[in-house]
Amino acid sequence: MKPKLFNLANLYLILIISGAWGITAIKTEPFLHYDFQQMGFITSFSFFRDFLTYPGGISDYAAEFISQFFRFNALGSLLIVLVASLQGFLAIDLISRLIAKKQHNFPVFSLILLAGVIVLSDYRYPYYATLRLLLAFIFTWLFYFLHKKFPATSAYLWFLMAILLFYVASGPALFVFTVSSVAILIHLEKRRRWMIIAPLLMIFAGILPLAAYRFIFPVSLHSLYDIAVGKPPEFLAYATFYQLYVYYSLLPLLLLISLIFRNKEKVSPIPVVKKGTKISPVPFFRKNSFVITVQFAVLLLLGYFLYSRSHDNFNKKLLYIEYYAENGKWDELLNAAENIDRYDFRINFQINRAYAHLGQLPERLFSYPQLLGVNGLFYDNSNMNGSFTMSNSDLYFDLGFMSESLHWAFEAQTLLPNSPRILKRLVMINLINRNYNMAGKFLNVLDQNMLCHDWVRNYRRYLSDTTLAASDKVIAEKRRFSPGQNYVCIDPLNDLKFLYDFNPKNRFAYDYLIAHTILSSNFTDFMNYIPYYETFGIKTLPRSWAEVLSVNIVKNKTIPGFVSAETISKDCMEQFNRFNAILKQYNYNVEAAKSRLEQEFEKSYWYYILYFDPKVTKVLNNKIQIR
Amino acid sequence: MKTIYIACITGLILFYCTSCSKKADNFAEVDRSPVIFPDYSDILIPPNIAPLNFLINEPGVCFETRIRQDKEREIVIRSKNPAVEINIKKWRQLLQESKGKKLTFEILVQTESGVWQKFKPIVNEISDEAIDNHLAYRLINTGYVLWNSLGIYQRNLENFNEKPILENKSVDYGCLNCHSFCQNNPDKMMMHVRAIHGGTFLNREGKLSKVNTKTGYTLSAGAYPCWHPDGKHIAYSVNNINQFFCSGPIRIEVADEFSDLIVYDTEKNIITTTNEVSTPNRENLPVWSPDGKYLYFISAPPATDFHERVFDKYSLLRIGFDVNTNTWGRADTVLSGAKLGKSISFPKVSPNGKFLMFCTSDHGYFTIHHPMADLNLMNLQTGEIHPMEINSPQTDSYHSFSSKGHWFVFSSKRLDGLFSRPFFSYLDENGKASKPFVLPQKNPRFYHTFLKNYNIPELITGEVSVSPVEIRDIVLRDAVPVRLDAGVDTSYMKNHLAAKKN
Repeated sequence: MKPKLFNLANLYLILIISGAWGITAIKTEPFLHYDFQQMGFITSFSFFRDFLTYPGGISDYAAEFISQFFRFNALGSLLIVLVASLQGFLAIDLISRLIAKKQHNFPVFSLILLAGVIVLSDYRYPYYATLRLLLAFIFTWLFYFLHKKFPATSAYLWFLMAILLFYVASGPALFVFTVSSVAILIHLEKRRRWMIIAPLLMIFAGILPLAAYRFIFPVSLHSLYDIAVGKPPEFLAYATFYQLYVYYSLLPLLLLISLIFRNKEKVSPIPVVKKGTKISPVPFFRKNSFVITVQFAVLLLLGYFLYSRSHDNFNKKLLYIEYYAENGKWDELLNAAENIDRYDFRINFQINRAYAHLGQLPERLFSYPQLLGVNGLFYDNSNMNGSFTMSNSDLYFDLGFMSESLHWAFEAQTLLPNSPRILKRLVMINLINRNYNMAGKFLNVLDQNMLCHDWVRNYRRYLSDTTLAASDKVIAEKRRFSPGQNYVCIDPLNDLKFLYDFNPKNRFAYDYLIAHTILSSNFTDFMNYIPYYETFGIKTLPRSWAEVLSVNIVKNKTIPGFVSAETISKDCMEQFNRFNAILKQYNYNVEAAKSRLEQEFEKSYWYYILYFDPKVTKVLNNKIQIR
Repeated sequence: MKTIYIACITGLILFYCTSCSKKADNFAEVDRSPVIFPDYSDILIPPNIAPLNFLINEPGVCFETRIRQDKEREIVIRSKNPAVEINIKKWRQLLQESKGKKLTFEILVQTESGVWQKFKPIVNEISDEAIDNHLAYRLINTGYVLWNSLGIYQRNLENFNEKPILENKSVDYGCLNCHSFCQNNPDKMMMHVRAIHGGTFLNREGKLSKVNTKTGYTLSAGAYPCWHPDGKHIAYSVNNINQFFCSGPIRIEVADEFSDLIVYDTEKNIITTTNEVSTPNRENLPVWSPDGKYLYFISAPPATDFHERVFDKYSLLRIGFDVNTNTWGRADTVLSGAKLGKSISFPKVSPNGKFLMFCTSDHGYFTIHHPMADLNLMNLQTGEIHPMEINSPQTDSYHSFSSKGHWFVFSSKRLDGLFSRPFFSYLDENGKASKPFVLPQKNPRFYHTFLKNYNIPELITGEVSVSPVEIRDIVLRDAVPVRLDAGVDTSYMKNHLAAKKN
């Protein structure tokens, strides 16, 4: 009798696969993995050759290939769910063959699918771990059939399979395969035989990576034993290991657990029905449909619980901020930032960029608490781990300082050599710098990425027809602002002065320069540069500039020559008077006046210098705390 | 089935008819040489070099290349692809039979209209003298502060095989640098490991060790190295170095704040120095004379401010040193940077002791980032100096002689202005260098997409026989600390260090 295709179990299976796909697409959003990890699959042979030089390299190559499609959210989610489902199907096929029962299929499948989806809730998750595990599943499944077909020689074949699996998927996959194979042997073999073979297999699996390390592969030992290999860049180092361990132990564990059910099945007596006796109906709670429904409900709850526990919502929001910044979606960035109630220096940095791009930096400088002072404008790179390389390149690109943008792009490219985003930046800077030869070289590399052909085609035209570059709005603007003369970069303030002095029409640099002087309470440079505001067609100073100028005027008791009646708005002066009045009310006791001032002036320069300025808070004394 | 066969045969016939299978008999002569990449024209070719595969940068649909010494010895390559990949066996045979003779590259290109064009032949010459058959180098990305995957590799120059000497993925991604060989001997080498598992790895003909050359009396661990010809001593600079990022043609400046010299005795595990080379001046980049009696080095005045530190000029000095007695002579200026109007760096004496090749720039010693960096030659017998004819408008920097002293390799950024590539040239007895050519690659488009730099190219006479696994195992061990020679004036060194710190 043919099994029914559309039974309840299959319906739930379809439901759970669809649900996993939906949740991955909507909640996990694999395009964020793509964006964060800068996946760059290259079709050249030399790229492939590098993966052949170490155990696990081949599955890493396959993972690189698949994960590039994470860029497309729906497709990426589908691939993730399909790979996890394939693991699930292999597992249920194995288990149902071993214990000849299908009742457990649904929970087995769902658990594996759940684990395969949950591991991706960490955006640093190295997808090769999934691919390596898939190979362990496939090899285990193949071993079952080999053993069935050639029971006498399967143990010998196992050793060959183990060596091959170790080479293509590294040590942890081999361990999964080994324990699973042992479980299969316990299922299928007599005790005396498996008691002899199993220890041999275990010892071989334990020793093989060590032997490979000692004699063949010049790699580190932990790279052969660890599931997720810790390699640079540091900011992509995967850390949520418990999920990964659970994922890797599922197949062996389920196979071992299935031994219990096998034994149970053997002891349960076959009911004998006497002629004429009435068969009592099966109680509803023993009916297959009820059991599967309960399983479905329990797994759904478990999935919800585990997923919500694993999913790092804050980190996801942070990645969204970075994503919006990379793509110049400044309004979306500010909207997203409004929904984050926690201070973060990376958000601070990107918000400042967003304000500057929207022309709002002078007006809204203190809308976000500038707790790090100038380090909210420029990252402190004294303790580099590579996290900010591309953000630095972005900022200097905004400012029109191509040599520094290039410097940081090269640092980034060192860490992520084939990242499309970084390569695109290198192309753009070289086009701006009129290094068409170099731009061509980076385009050649980018052209080996199958998702970048259109972009390459567009910009390759610029190499043969240089007028296209000149008429490109971005390129033309950066060319105007990028200084070509010799200059040694000492610190951001001098860089900004250099940029502004080179081209006083560089509004972005001017806004950043003034913001820098404000956040560092550098009144000398503020007073030197603020008089140029009129060159940008400004009559009345935006809020933060006016607030600083008002302090300066009061402090020095003189009105500078460039200040006219409309330079500082009436409202600003009234606010300043009010601020001072409140302070006076509290006898200039800053601490006592804090909560009162916070209500009205939290987003002002006056409040900043009293309560947020790093010189006051001393927050920069402990950089680790900031991070 | 029959239809499939017919279709296949028709396809094959069509392919044959449309492919470049016919010899170009009728052609129009073009009165210029073809443009090829890399430029392998008018060069002197070592008789043991790998095939000089190249790309014909001329528009066409079919390409024919005839490489010949005479009519009997000819390699013909015909293809629709402008990439010319030469059969290695035929190439080797041709080169061996053509030593000391001219080798002609005749290139014909069929245009879209079907007309064949024959360009003026490219004529090269085969040298009698072979080049050392391996090249060691570090491959590194263009990052200046950070690094990721990097390694020191060796390339067999007679074919296209490249093998790692050590890749940093095996040593937890520490930084590997400053590989150095004793007189081109692959069995006497050293390299530094920094950041993780730090120390200096030494291979003395199979005796592997790792040492820590930092002492309490010296500025740092040994940095820029040079093996003494006796194979037992290594001179090092000890430095305090920083880098600065710039706008303009020079993107980066690397400058030493303080530098001294030391000599390490690999057998006794002792380092020594003297107040002649540990002065307030910045002594750097030591290199031995081939007889081992003198140590050449560069030196700049102490830097009192940032400007001096970056923009000072270095002079060339030398000092006598007796390795048997650990005794130093007095330092003498060989060539003044101020007088030359250039800053001197990377001095290297040819193995026959006749020439000293060095790099010059407008300032500083770290010339690899200076587009104006050029190679110069000094005749040590006559004192005559001249800029070398091989220089390009881009950076021409770090160089290394072959064991016989005529062939040499140097780093140049002439292909694109950014990535350093190894170029080879032959230096004749009169100090004239042949037109340089870049390291040949199997795929002639290789340099179009390769984004790593060839760093410190060193010619060696064979393959490094110690395996990467063996080197890794030594590198992962703790470094053995070196001792300071009892003859060193420690009170002077203490004061000297204290003065520098202040």
